[in-house]
Amino acid sequence: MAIRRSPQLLSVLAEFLQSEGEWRYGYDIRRNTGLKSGTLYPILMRLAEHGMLETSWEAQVEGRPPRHLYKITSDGLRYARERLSEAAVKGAVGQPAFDGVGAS
Amino acid sequence: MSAIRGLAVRISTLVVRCASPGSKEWAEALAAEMEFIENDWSALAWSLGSLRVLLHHREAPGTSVEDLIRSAKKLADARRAGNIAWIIFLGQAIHFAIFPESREPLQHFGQELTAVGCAVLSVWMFFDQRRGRKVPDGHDSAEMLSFYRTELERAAGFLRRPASWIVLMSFGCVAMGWTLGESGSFVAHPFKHALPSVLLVGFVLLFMHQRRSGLRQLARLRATLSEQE
Repeated sequence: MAIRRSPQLLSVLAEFLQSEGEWRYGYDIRRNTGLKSGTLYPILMRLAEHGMLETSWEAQVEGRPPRHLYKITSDGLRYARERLSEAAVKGAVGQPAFDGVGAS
Repeated sequence: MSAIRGLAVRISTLVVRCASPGSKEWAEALAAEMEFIENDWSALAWSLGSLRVLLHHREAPGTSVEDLIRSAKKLADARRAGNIAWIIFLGQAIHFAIFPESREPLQHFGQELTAVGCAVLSVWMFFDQRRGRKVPDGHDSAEMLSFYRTELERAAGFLRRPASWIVLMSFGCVAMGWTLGESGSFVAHPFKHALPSVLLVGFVLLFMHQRRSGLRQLARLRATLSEQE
């Protein structure tokens, strides 16, 4: 299934570019992008399906369930840079995504 | 735990339970993440968003030949068992053709239309069912896989066969004839005479769902068999 290019996808890609090489939690991405879980996770699922996102479960900490982690792959980085530069040229990057939201 | 948080947990648990095999990990990821959301209303919003995972049907990764044979046997069993839908449609066709309930022209025409639609569907279902007798017995795996592939390819090419369009039009005839037979007018009451249209839309949605599911199974079968070669 192809990845639909949308402002929400660009927000997620931009978020991963900001923390290149780091493992991220889903809820933190949601807070920084402002996307709802029902929008964010289908995007993460598609990125992972296309090998642009690496996923992993963190080790279990006592009393708390393990969390799912996401890290952008080199293919994902290339794709993110292409899409974001394309969007910058078209002036279509979703501006509100990072406004007034603190980093996790 | 507050009632709101409890509801959120229930929704997440339901999503994990109902998610398709390939999406289960994502449903679990969403459920696990909810533990780290402090605000109860945000947790509820998060869990409601997780319902979207249910729309993403994915097969379990790494399908084996054994899984495929199991699916093929399930399909073969269903084919062997057959169904009595053709008798129901035949009964409806006879009922409307021989015992029309109204002499009012439009209502009568509607009932005749329903009878024709039901008759065509009954004949199609009868012959489709007869094909079920050619199902392999299940002892030969290669034969089972070949049967499975043929059935899935046949289903995938359904819309390319003229007969399938006749079937779809027959369903349309039944729905339209039913509405006319009930209302006696081309302008149906939105609530009183909505049932035929609702059933027709339901049928189309079910058909689309079955078709998508069949195409996914075919892709899975082809991918697994090409890996084996």
